[in-house]
Amino acid sequence: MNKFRFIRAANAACLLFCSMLAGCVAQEPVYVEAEFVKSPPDTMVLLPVVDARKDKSASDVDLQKDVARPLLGRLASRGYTIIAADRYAYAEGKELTSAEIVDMDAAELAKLGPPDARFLMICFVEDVSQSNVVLGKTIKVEISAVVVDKQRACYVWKDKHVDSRGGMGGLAVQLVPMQSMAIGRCIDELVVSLPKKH
Amino acid sequence: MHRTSSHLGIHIPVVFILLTCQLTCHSAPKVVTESSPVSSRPLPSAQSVYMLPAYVIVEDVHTGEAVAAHEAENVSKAAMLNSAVVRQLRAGGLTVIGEGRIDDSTPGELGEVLAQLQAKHKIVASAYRDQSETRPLFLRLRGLTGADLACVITLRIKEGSSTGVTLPGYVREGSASVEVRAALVSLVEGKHIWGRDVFSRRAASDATVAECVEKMFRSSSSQGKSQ
Repeated sequence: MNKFRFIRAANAACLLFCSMLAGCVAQEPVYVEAEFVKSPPDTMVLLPVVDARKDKSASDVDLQKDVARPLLGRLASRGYTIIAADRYAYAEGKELTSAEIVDMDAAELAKLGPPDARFLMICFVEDVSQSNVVLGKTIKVEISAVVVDKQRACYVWKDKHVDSRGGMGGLAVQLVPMQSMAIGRCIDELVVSLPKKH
Repeated sequence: MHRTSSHLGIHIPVVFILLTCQLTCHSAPKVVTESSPVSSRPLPSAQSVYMLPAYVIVEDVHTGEAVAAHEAENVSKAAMLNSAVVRQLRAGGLTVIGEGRIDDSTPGELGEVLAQLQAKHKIVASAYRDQSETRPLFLRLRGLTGADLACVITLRIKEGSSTGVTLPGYVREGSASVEVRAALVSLVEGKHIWGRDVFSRRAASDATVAECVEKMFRSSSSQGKSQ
């Protein structure tokens, strides 16, 4: 019986250690240029968060409060100086919408932002959906981000994270801010995959 | 030993009932239509439409990158999607020409134009993008086929998990989804004159794709009638 308990405890300890390791190791981004890793820029311009959700009725999200602000904080703690842009397009006098930005490729995205900026960071909220179940709720958040080099009109970094989980626990789960926690986890994962500034 | 058995005897049915309740009461995934600059316009009628080959993009939901596998499956999905759209266009009073595919039977010059349009599919399919780059190709297509409009269809499949129960009894929100986008482009003006975008939180089965197409044209006909 004691031997059985010891094996169970050892298994649990191993599992805990592995999860801690996984949390510490930075994830590889979907795409990154070697030069960007070697010498990441000091300053980047963060464009307003793009609402790329196909189903906007699935959940209420305040892109500024729930996404842009936490992202700015995490990027600053990663060592980047971030200038938050208040609009997408500066060169043309036209106001662009999120739907127009979603359909753009790197060459078109490079025309956005202040003309004197070199690196643009664009964050796309692709999905936020919440469903209620009998004893809890489920949440799915899908966020991607890119860094565009305006000078060369190409991506230098691209990453994406999906957080999909559920909770069971009656009223207690209803009170837990699962949506902002899931958005926070996605943002953390994205920022951790950016090269760290020293 | 006796205590453990009695615990199991009570817990297993309770857990089973809870999980069953959770799954059955999980709200069914919705099919939604997205608005675009031309989404409120009714389906035009009494015009001829040339079907461009349907474009199927399969991507991994976790990376956003294209998945190269399932080539044969994609071809069959594209054919299924094409025929579902053709049925709806014909029911709407449009004359449909073209097979919606490029193969050995496609005449040389037409095949070349279709291949070039396929290469610029991202631009052609978007109502927001400037079509000046593709306009000469549209004019050539009109000259070769005599069609008034071209029908551009995109099927975007995000491969991920489906909604289900994970240990220790949580219901997980699925991450797989399907998006069907169809547009009618005027071959003379090089502009989108009609378009719909339908999104479903279901895995990409033939039934899901058919449901998206039906929803796309149902919303179009109801808007057409209300205008």
